[in-house]
Amino acid sequence: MKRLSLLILILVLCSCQTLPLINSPISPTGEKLLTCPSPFLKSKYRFIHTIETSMAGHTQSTIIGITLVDPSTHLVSCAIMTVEGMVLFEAESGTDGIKVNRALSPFDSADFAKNMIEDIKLIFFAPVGKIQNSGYLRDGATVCRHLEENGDWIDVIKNKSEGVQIKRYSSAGFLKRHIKFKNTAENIYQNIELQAYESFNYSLLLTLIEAQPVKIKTFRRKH
Amino acid sequence: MQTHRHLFNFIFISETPIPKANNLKGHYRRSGMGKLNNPAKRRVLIHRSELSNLFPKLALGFIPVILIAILFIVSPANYAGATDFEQLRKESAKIKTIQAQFVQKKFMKILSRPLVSEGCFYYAAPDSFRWEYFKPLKSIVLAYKNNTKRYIYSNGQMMEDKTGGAQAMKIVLNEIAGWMNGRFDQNPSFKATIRENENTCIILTPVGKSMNGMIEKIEITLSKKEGAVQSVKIIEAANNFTQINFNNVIINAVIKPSVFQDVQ
Repeated sequence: MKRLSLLILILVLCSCQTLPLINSPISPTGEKLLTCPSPFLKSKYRFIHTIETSMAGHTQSTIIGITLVDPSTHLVSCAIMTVEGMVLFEAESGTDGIKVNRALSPFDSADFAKNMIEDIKLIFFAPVGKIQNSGYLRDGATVCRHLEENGDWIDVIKNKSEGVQIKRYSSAGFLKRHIKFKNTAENIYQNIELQAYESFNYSLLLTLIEAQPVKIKTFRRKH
Repeated sequence: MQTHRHLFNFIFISETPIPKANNLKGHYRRSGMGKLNNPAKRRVLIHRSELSNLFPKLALGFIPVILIAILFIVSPANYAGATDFEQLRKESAKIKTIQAQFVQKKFMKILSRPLVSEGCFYYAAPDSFRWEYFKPLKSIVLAYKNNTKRYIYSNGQMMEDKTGGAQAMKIVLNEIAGWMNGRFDQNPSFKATIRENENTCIILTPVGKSMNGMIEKIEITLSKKEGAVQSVKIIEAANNFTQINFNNVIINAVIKPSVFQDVQ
């Protein structure tokens, strides 16, 4: 029985993706030429996406997600509603932390809000942590590796065949999130796939309905 | 034991609702992000099969509400200027079928302009309906002979939403049955009042726990000139409401049963 448990544990560990090795550019010139991929927002935007939720490859349900994101302040507002328009969840994250304005069960867990905001930040904002390493993966993809304050690793990857991707690893090096920007030709946020590796893996497929740049109001002094 | 950390972990583990959403900030400050140790929060295990019914209840939550409102659509001559529920009761009993198109506008603080959806619906007494959105996302709810299904456009085709459960269906059909009997002012879920201004306005206020925290009130505006429902406004919270405007309303025309059975 112990052997079987050990075998299962080994299989589980082997099935988890871990932090890959980064090969440094061969020459100093190559190092200079290496540009970190940056699929991140430069200004404040509002996005409306349909979100298909899937487990084990089967679509479970579809909801509508609204995100208002400002990379300059790192402020995030978000809402989830049914296709029929019923708001299930609404929250905002700012300097004071997370404020949940509306959360119907089962979206009323505090951890749900925290993790949703974290996922939104992972998609739209450049990592806060400094670049620890950059170079190329075994398949030739360009990668820049950031170390976050909480010890997580974030790889921003650009691959000729698969486009731009973001991978978040735990401090122990296990893959937690894998984000793929599937259509980079028109709007990079047109089709986003988020794979979550948790006790029960799931995926979210975001399809853009609307993207609106948000003008930041400036107040002119009266003369 | 871990709390449900991510979107789908709630399949196995759930918690009682956090007392007040506004207090969340306080919770975070006391216990630190992601380390909520509030003893008042009872954590309970819920079986997967029970939880699978939880989301569809919410997902379909608007459908019965909208249908309740729609059932006020009756023939112009009879309904114009109705001032009491007895009159509404009599007139509603004459409704056999309804069909209409609608434009739905979702207003929220997070949106600078409303999110506009368009669609159509069909209803046949006692319990058949089709509620269909054409855009921004194609979706259909069909109900026919105690069988309710929800379809959403995905990967180039209409896919059945497998999370739809018997609970959601029961809620929808029970509401419809009650209102079709003309008990507008006797439905245990809503308190109904009539207000006479330029148009007739029926205000439905949820009572009891079923709509608690979900809907504040529903305002149904009947046009005095045309007599039919002009609009339905579902107010969920301050700065969060849905306005549905109806047009091309047809009462008691023959509707083929296939409309309530076939996705296409």
